[in-house]
Amino acid sequence: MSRWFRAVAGWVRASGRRGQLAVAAGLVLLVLVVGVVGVLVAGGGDSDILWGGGTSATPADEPAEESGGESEPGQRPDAPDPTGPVGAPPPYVQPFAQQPGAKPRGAGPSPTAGVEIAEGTDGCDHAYGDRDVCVPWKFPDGVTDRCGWLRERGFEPLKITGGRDRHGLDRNDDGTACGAGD
Amino acid sequence: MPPAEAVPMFSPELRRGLGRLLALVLLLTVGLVATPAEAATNLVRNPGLETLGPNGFPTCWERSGLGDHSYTFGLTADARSGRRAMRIAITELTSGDRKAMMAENAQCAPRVTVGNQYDLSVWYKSTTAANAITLFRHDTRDGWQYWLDSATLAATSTWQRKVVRTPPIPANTDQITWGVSLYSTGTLITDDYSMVDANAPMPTPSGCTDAAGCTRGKWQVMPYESTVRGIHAVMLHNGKVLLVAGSGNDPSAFEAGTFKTAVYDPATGAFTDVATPVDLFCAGHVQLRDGRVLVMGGNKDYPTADGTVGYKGLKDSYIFDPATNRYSRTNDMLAGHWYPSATMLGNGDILSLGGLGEDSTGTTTTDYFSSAQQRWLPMNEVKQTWAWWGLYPAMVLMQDGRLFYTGSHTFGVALPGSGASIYDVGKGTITDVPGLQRKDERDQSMSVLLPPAQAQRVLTVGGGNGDAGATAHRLTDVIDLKAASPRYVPGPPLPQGTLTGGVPQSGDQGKMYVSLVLLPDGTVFETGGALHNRADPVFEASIFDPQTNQFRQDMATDPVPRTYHSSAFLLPDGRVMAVGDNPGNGSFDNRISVYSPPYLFKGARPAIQTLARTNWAYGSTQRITVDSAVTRASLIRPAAVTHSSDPNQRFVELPMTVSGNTIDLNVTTNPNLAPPGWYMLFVHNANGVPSIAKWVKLG
Repeated sequence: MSRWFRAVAGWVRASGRRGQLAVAAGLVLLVLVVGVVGVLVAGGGDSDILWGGGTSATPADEPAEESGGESEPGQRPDAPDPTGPVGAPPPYVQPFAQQPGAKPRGAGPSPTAGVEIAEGTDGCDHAYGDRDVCVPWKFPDGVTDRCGWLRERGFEPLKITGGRDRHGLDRNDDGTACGAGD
Repeated sequence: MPPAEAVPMFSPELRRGLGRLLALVLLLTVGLVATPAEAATNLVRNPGLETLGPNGFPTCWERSGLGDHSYTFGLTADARSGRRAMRIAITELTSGDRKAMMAENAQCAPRVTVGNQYDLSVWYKSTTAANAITLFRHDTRDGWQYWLDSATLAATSTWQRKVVRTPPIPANTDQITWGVSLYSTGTLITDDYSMVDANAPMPTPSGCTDAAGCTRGKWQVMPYESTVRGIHAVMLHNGKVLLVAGSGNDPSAFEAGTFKTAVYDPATGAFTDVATPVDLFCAGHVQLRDGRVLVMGGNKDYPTADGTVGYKGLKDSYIFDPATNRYSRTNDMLAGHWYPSATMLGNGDILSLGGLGEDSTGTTTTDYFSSAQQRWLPMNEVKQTWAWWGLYPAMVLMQDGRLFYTGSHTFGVALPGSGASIYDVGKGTITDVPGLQRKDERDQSMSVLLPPAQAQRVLTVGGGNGDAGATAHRLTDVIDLKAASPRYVPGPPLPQGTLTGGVPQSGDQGKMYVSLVLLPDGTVFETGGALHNRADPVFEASIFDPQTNQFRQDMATDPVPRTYHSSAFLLPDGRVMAVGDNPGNGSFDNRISVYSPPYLFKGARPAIQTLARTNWAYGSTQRITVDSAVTRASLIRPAAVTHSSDPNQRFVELPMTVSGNTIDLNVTTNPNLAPPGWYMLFVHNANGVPSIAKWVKLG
């Protein structure tokens, strides 16, 4: 062994600096190749994934099988495979919001007329001004100066077109709500 | 004989160099091998199902499933690797599914990091295409709950691998479990599961050069005005916007028979007039599956000044075709509808409810438009409940095909019951849902199905009561329709803004006629609104984050008041457009505002470079390529909005299978989650910066 080593060392010394570099590079390449092969072999498996979470397979009893529903007892996994749709998958719907215990209402009786809608359902009293104008059906709480409230919001004096003045906006009774004399 | 003199094999310089080289090799080995191995650690316990517990079932796995079916469930020696694989067979099925899931406990369920994404992989064979990768998440506050079905597995007789990436892990999630659900008759065998951290791409540098834009976004008021009163707005799949006015709440226009519609091109600012056959003011509208727009009802007449007769509803119906910019008439509905709802069902049919009839009474007739027959069905073909739903009732399609009435509506006093309900269209039954706060003050509130649609959560915001002159409140309510017995729970209070003159809101003052717009980063933009019916605009905007259930306050506010007859909606470029304002003095603001959310000030936008197909099938996988890393993809249904109501608005998650810049998008199998039609396809990066949308047609 020592004789073989001395012979190689002597050859390397005689090779000069360029030869020594070549030998060194060859050694590095060898380390790399051995290392990579080692990693691949030691890593095993079929991919670059390391199974960090798994445990090794250990012999065990025949695994338990569960069956449910109306299947025949004792049906084995090696029975003919049932099949299903193989083209476009059917919709997968979850059994959410089944509301157990809640009582659903069914259809009511067929009506003879629609539901009566009270006036002012759009929040407006259309007796004032054109019908695109919306004097509130009920002013917000705390509003005492109604004409002032309307003026602040860009309302011009409004003709009373509906034949009534629910809000008392035409104090001088000239047919115009929130006019000059109101 | 003296020992031979020790002779060094290499010179000292070479030895030093060799030592350095070996150190480098060692570092390279660590860098190239060890680090990826660390990143690719499989988080699944017992991934090959080889280790059995005392019950003979793989440790860290559990049997799961619900419903009415006959099945067998166990292990098989037909394994891809090792000795065992999981086999599930369903021989008869009425309902439900069967699946092997990772056990929901601290030891077995994979631990996750909020915001990270994970690549899930499973090898499988199946005799059916009815297999889905189903995910559950452990919420640190609410416990284990369904998350989503992320991918469908095609039938195969040979071992195939399916990989899908989770969406970013939601807030308050510390563990997830998953498995493959078999939901038809068939046989499913699975093996060799893995779950690895996808090393979500680092957020790209923000590139923020506009501090205000980055945090609050920016509004731009267009230098021109709309040529029509934009009371109804529909985003068309050609990128243009249908603005419908009809008479536009202008009785003189009604008397003159002057009804208006225009198609607006946001790219050019051009308006194209559209001949409008009747007064479509206060109609309902929804995109059909082919992208045409079904318009139903409208204004037959204005109310009389003496109050004896109210608004009257048309029973006319028209279809607007974006290809020709023309309306064509369909058959009439069964009844008149002024302020009807219009909700698309999973089969593409349209249900229309509520509103006022031809005689100005409340319409209790359900109208049903058949997509296959392209007509409104006659009375004997429509199951009627004769229920009174009010005006513009917000009906959101649930994942099982039922409708959720959110309690949001326009005008009118209270409806009986709890104010919200689930309507089973097929059975014709209605079941109340509890929990909605101040149910009788939800006039001009707005509801939206929160992103993603798979989460089945609805947010309802604000409202008042015009009849009672009520001041709008700032209540919000959230409901999870995945629960067995859903009920609204209070959400965070609506942020407050300022009134005219800069007066800050106070107390419990909130907004009515508020707008909610789904954004492509999975959040909800909230804007516009007023303190009272047709009065007192509120200048406030915020972004609601469904992950945290919180509002991000102090977004930039639209300089234009947006009260009654205003709308806001998403453009395909990720901006938000706002139109309309019709205060009580009868004026109308025709200015157009466009909001650029903060994400548009946070650096370069990812781009969808190629799209393999534009016609997508349910349960399919669709390939795109992108120019940079993205974290999420979605389909957003284009708006069809009026009166704070767009019940079809939804953001559908598209779980991704990622290979570099090539991404396969996994499309839901369930049309109730994404009714057929044209959608805007977005992707966004880790900064939440979205792409410009591509248009795809689903179903």
